[in-house]
Amino acid sequence: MKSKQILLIALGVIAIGVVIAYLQYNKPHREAADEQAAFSLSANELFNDFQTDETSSNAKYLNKIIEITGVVIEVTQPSPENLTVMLETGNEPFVIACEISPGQVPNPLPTPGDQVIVKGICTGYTMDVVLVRCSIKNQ
Amino acid sequence: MKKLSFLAFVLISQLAFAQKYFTREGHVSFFSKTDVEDIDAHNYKASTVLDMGTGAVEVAILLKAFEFKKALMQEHFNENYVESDKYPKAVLKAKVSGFDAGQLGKNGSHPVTVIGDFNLHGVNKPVNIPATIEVKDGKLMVNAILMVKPADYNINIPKVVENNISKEIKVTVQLTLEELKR
Repeated sequence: MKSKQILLIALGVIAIGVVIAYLQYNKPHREAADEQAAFSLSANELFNDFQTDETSSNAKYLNKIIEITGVVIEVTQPSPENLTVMLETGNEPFVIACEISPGQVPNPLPTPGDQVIVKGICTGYTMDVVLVRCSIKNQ
Repeated sequence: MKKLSFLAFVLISQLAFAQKYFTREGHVSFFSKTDVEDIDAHNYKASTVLDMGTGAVEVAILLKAFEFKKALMQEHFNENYVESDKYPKAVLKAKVSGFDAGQLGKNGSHPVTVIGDFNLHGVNKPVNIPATIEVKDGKLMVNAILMVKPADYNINIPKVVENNISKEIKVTVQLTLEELKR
């Protein structure tokens, strides 16, 4: 009787472990739309921060949810599942490049000149500042 | 004072009058194949500038902009392997040989060699990458494959997942460079 109980408990623990491992393995991607923005600023301000001091801006913004207001300069689709909205920075030809999350693609698509608010995860600075997993709405 | 990133400087520098080709949406992907599992990840934001006057090329890749199918793998890649909070980007600084401005005018494919340094995870390594540049209607389509050994860049793969990740990762680079108009 006793050994049967132990066996049942052991099986229960293993089953819970398997479920947790499975959920963890299949956990969803982080989405900017699900979180509060840590910073809210204009495209120009974000770009200027990175251009002035990349190291301290990395410390401040990397991996953070940032809400950007700006004007669309270009919309591209480098792959079928990857829509990117470029925002003006006041420093041509450099942009804030925002990859829109597959679940957040707006209909109709934004067009150049639109005033928008984008929320995304900051990944850093090359010559542009790149945000991923973004949501977007018109201002 | 404003400081331009090196890449930005190369792109907009007026010192050299040579033609510059660039993209902000280069496609870099990597693929790891083992008996246990195949892992691939894609990045569509590799910034690249090629100076036709000197043959100098620079590619900057933000590691946090790699998309994996599994969020968990993406997290492990960033937090445990490439440590992207500490080292947010990988940078290739190199020279292209086997291609010059004289070949820009006519469509055609050219084998080239890209020789320089690749910096990843804070480690700088010399690289010699065979590539092709195809001139197509004024654009340059660049294709290259680079084999990267994580161990060379002090990227430690824990024992538990040692067999899940290939000892040598195949990195594929596809760029469409356009002339910078100014």
